[in-house]
Order: sequence, then C-alpha cells, then structure tokens
Amino acid sequence: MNMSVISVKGLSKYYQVHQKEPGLAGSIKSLFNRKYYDVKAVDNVSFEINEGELVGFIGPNGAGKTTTLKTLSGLLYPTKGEVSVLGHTPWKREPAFQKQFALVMGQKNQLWWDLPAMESFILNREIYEVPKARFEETLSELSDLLEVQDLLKVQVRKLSLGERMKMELIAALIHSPKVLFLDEPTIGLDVVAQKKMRDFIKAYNIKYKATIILTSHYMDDVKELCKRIIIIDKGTKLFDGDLDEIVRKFADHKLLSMVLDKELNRRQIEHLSALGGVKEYAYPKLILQVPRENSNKVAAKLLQSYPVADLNIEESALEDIVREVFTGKDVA
Amino acid sequence: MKKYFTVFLVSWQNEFVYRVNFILWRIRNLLRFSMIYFLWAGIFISNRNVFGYNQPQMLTYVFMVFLMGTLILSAPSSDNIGGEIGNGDISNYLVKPVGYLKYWFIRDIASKSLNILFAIVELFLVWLVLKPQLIIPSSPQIIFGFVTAVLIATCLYYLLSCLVRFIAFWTPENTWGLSFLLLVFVETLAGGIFPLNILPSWIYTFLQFTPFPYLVYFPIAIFTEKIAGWELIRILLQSTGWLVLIFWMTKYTWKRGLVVYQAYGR
Amino acid sequence: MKELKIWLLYTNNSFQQMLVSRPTVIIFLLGKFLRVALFLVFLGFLFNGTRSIGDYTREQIVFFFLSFNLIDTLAQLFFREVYRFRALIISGGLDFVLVKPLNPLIRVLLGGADVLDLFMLIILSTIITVFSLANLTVTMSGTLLYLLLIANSLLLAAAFHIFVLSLGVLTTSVDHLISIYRDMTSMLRIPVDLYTQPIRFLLTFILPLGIMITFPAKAFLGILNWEAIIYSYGFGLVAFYLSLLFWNFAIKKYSSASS
Repeated sequence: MNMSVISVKGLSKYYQVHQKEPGLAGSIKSLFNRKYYDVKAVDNVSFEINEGELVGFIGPNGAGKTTTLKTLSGLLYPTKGEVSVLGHTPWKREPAFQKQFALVMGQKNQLWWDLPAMESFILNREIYEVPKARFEETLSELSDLLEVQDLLKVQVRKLSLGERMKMELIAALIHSPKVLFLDEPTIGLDVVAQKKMRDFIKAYNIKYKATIILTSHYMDDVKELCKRIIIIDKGTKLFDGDLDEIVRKFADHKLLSMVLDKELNRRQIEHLSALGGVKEYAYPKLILQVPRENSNKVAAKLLQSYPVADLNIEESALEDIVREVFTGKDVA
Repeated sequence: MKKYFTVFLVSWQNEFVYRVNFILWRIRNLLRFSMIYFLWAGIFISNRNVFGYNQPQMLTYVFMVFLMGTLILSAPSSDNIGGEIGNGDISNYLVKPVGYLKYWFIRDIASKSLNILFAIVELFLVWLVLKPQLIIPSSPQIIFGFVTAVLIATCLYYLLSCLVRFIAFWTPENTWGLSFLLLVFVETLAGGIFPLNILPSWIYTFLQFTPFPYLVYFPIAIFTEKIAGWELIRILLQSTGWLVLIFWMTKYTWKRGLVVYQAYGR
Repeated sequence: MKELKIWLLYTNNSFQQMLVSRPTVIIFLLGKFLRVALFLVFLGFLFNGTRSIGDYTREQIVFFFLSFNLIDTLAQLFFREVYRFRALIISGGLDFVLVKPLNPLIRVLLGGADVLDLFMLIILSTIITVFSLANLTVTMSGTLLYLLLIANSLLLAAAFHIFVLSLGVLTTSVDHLISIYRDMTSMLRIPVDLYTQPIRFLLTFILPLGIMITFPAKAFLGILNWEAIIYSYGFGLVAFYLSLLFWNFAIKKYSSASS
C-alpha cells in the first residue's frame, strides 16, 4: 500500500484585496476609506500524490498554482482544508519537515550575488545540517549532472542565466530533498537550457525517487516530464489524471498534417472546408483539423484526390486541448 | 508640457498609495525639526548668547531650516535613479519621448509641493504649541532675494543629487556611495544644524567655494537679514554661478554616462 | 551551536561581499568618518563661546557624543541587514528564508553584518579610549558598568530592529521607520538631560533612547544611580521579549505577494 507523500483535502485560500478608483480623487479617497473584496486564490482543491511521482500543475496566470505550492511549502496558512506533506503539516514549519523538501522558483534566486556559488552551497549545508561527506558526494554528483564543475568558484553575477539556474538547482538540492516543488523553473531560459533543465529533472526524479510537483506555462515541460497532470483554473481543480487521458477525453479532433507536392486550385481549397477545418495552409504545408471518428476516412480521401506527398495523423496540440479545458468544456 | 503635468499628478497619486510611508515621512520631518530645535533650546538654557545669536534668532533659524529642508532637500519617495541606472531600468525611459532628467525633476517638484503643503500646516501647529518668538522680514527686496535664493537652491540640490547618482553609469554595483557622501556634507556644511557664520571667517569663506552653503544657510541668512545690500547681491551671483556650473557638469556627465551605458548594451 | 556557526558564515559572506569594490569601501568609510568628525568640529566651535552646556563640561559632552557613535555603530554593525529587508520582501526572497530549517531572524536581522562599521568601531573605540584617559577620570567600576550597559543598549536596539522587521512583514514600509529610528537616536548625540520636559521624559521612559545611549555614558562618568541601571535592564529585557512576540505575530499574518 503506497502511502501518499502529499495529501491535500479541501484546500482553500482566500485573500482580501482593496480596490482603488483611478485618478487623484480616488487616491485621496483611498487614504480614508478603502473597499476590500475577496479573492478566492484556491477553492476546495484536493489531491493525493505518491512517492516518486512527477506531477504537473498547469493553469493560466492567477489560477492558484503558486498559492498551492506555497501552502505545501508552509509559507501560507490555508483559509480552510487539511494538508499533509511527508506526514507533517507544512505551515508548522518544523525543521524536520523543512530539511526534507526544497522549493525552487524560476527567475528568483537565493544565491549571494557577488560571491561564488560555492559559498551559498556551504551556507545551505550548514542550515540543512548535511554531513560533510554526503555534501561533497551530492555536490560532485549534481555538478557532474549539470556540467558546472568548473564554475563553482566563479562569482554568481558573472554567470549566464542558464548557468545561474543550474547553481540555484544545486543549492536547492544539496540536502537531497525527498520532495521538490518547482515553480516555473524553465521560465526565461533559452530552448537549449530548457531541455537541459528538463533532462535533469527527469534524471533526478528517477535516480532519487523524489516526489516532484512542477508548475509551468510551457506545455513542453509538461509533455516531456509529467505522466500525471492537475489542471487548475480560477482556484479550482478542473482535471486530475494521466496526460493521455486528457488527450483522449478532450481532444475530439485530430490533426492531419500534410506535405503537398502541388499547389491546390480554388475548387480543391473550397472542398477542403467540407472535410474539416483548415488549421494552416502555407504551401507545401497543410494542416487539417478533423473530428476524431472521421480522421481515417478523411485521410484516405485526401490521399486519393489531393496531391499529398506525405500525411501524418496527430493528436491536437496539448495547448489547444488545455485551452479548451479552460474555456469550460465539460470536465465530467 | 501636458505630459509633464500628468507626471506631476501621477507622482502625487504615487505618494498617496503608500499612505503609511507618506505619514511616516511627515513624522520623520517633524522629528528632525524637533531634535534640532530642542538641541538649541537646551544650549540656550545656560547661555544667553551663542556667537552673536540670541534665542529668538536661533530658533527662527531652526524653523527656517525645517522649511528649507522640506523645500530644497526632499526627494520623491520612489526616487531611485542610481538603482535604475544600475539595473538597466532607465532603458524604459530612454525610448519614450520624455526627458529623463526633466521627468525626475517634475517628480521632485511634485513631491516637494506636496510636502510644503503639509509642512506649512505642521509648522503652524508647532508654532502654536511652542510659541517661540520668530523674526519675520518685511521689505520686498529681502523677500525677493529670499525667493530667488530658494529657487536657485532647489535646482542646485536636485542637480547635485543627480550628479552624484550618475556614478552608477560607471559603477553599477555601487549606486549610492557618492549620494551618501553628499548627504553627510549637506547635513553639516549646508547649515542644517547650525548657522555657518559661527565658524571662523576663513572657514566661512572657504565654504563659499563649495556649493553647500547656498542650499540652506544663505537663503535663511537672507531671510533673517544677516546678509543684505551688496553682500546679498554678491551671494546671489555666487549661487547662480554654482547653479550654472553644476548644471553643465550634470548635463555633461549624463551625456558621457549614456555613452558608457549603451556600450554595455543593457 | 548551529545558529552561531551560521551567523559566522553569514558574516563572513557579508564582509566579503562588501569588500568587493574598493572605491565603495573608501567612500563609505570616508562618509561615516566625516559625519563624526564634522559634528566634533561643530562642538569644538560651539565651546569656543561656552565652557559648559547644562551641567556638563566640554569634555563630558564630547564623551557623550563619542559614546553615541559607538553604540550607533555597534547596532549598525550587527543589524545592517534590516536596511535590506524591504528589497527582500518585494523580490519574494523572504519565502526562501521561511522555507529553511533555520530561525528567519538569524538571516533577516543578523545576516548582513557590516564590515565597514567594524572598521568604524575599531577607530571609535580607539578614539574614545584615548580621549577618556586624557580628559576624564576613568574608574574600573565605571568602565565595567559602561560595557555592561552597552550590552543592554544592543538588546534594546535589537528589540527595535525586530519591531521594524515585523512591521515590514506586515506593511513593507521599512525604510522610513529605520530613518525615524536613526533620526531619533541622533537626537541623543547630546545627553538626554539637556532636553526640556516633556521631551526628556519621552526620550527616557517611553522611547528608551535615553536608556540606550545616555545611560551607559553616565554610568561611565559615575553619575548614574542604581535604580536607573535596574530600570535599564528591565526595560531592555521586556522590550526584547515583546519584540519577539510581535515578530511571531507578524510572520503568522504574512501572506506573500503572488507570483
């Protein structure tokens, strides 16, 4: 029986925000009389995560992902609900709990700017009370994995953004946490650095059986890393399950991606709309969106009567699927 | 011109948003004033006359220092020119059709005018409570000389503070080192704690070769009629000279600084 | 113990970080030194006209001023990090601090010791020692009481800084409070006795600045009575305890700015 490492039941977090009317009169008014209104950042969210899972949290800005992560880290008290991580209540901030997890937030750094990253690592070693031998071992493993062995003694301010993020990761993982909260870890990185980050996270998850929650805007992060995703919007959980499931459930369209060897004439173009929606047509590329059930039939027809050199049947882009989930399609 | 007026208004709004900050800023000003006031009141307990100043004269001086401080030496609460240069934020301004220096000058004026309004109210209340004897001048020449000196001082201090912050162009990691030095000098050498004419005459003369006394001491000296006639005119000319000099230095440093800034390609 | 070790690491890092740029070091040291020197010059000129102020001689007044600087510098040495607190909160960095298994005060109160103030401290201690030996009667008991009361002053300063940190957590307006603190403590450049009532009462019994700055110097000069000493320590301990309570309250209320 796999005990859940992270258990969230009915988590809710409400804020009070004040409203200011525009203009100078509004400013003076707000000195004396402020109107507050409730924001439901997180509303009745529940889920369980087991050891070694790599779960993706996706949702638009303001959906409540970061708020949830902060609650799991113990930074916020919930308005309602129960949360248990590794058997502890996070907001009690027990050192025994804190020593077992790490929080990494993209583009926010905790390294000392003018000093080599090594100094920050040593500091964390002391704070997390990591024995010297294990510290050396972990440090060399991580710096090998991330290929930064030569940069440990370089001032942080002199590193590139990608290198800095790698150092942030080492600083965060130097105490071998069992649970990892990654908030937008790839934001602002170039494509190569993003891929490296993803490879690292995957490797870390497999090697150390760490339980990881990842929030991201980038679908590629989610696609590559997460088997299971939780979709949050406006503070509520819209979906919790495997990635394939969401594709199967919500993608009622498939994409026929074709390479043509001759330009289409007007009649052919008009006829296309009878077969399906033209998603993109820029010769020689043509992408047609067709209902799932018809995809094979339509594909056959296209191959018959159109100058198709190559044809692929693909699932809808995950982004589109997720967007449809957000715009309120039936979740049941 | 209209856009600068908008800057003015938005600046006021900005000050109000951080209402706690604003109130604290007013309290701070009041505290500084009280401290110097009571320091001198304490000194005058056992002394009738200190360097030719009696108590009413000295206390008038302190009142004026408070007013001058608000007028001349304050700055908007989000003034961070050094920081903005240091982390590349001024790029946002450089691409917009708004002069960066003019922008901050307007914000400076906006902040000051807001502070003046409050300062006048506070001074009135304090005067009611403490009821010191104050000496007010009457002749129009004095008033005119005073106002001129104050205007020059305001611009002078603004430029000086810009100038010291422009060091950020060359040392982005250290943006307020020189500002700190300026503050230290202004605190004593501008006349904020004591009137400068209690110093020996050679020091008094020497100080006129620095921009500091023109910021606080001389405007007040004009107001309290310690300086009049030809000397008044001479002092006004000197302060104008300083204004022109610092203005050119600031403009020049700004230009050179931008060259360096763009060379870094931030 | 662990906290001490980590404080040493923080201090080490902080010192290193500050010494990175030599012009910065020179400029700031110069500024700090000039601030003291210029006021001493002012006092010097002031006393050209008078032999004493209130009940105190010229030498005593200078001693009070030097004492003020000593205590002020000591506080800045340890608590410099408080001046950076606002930036920490706004950037979301406080979250990183709270997430770690370490008392956050170690980091936000003590984590940024200022090496320049250490230099100033050495300079000031030397000046004060030389000056007192040359111009005042120095006694063992006086010196001992002086040092013990300065320790209490540090406690009071800590209490105040923790209070500011707490308010910073609640409202993020740290800078003005610190400025008020600095402005008010600098009122104590002269002995608190020189102020008239009710200010004198305010500065001694309500805001403990008189306790913090004037009392140690008075003890050194042998003119502080026993009740005042006991009162100082009582106030210091109570203030410190209350500030910690307030801090815990503030952290509880903390809701971090969303991403």
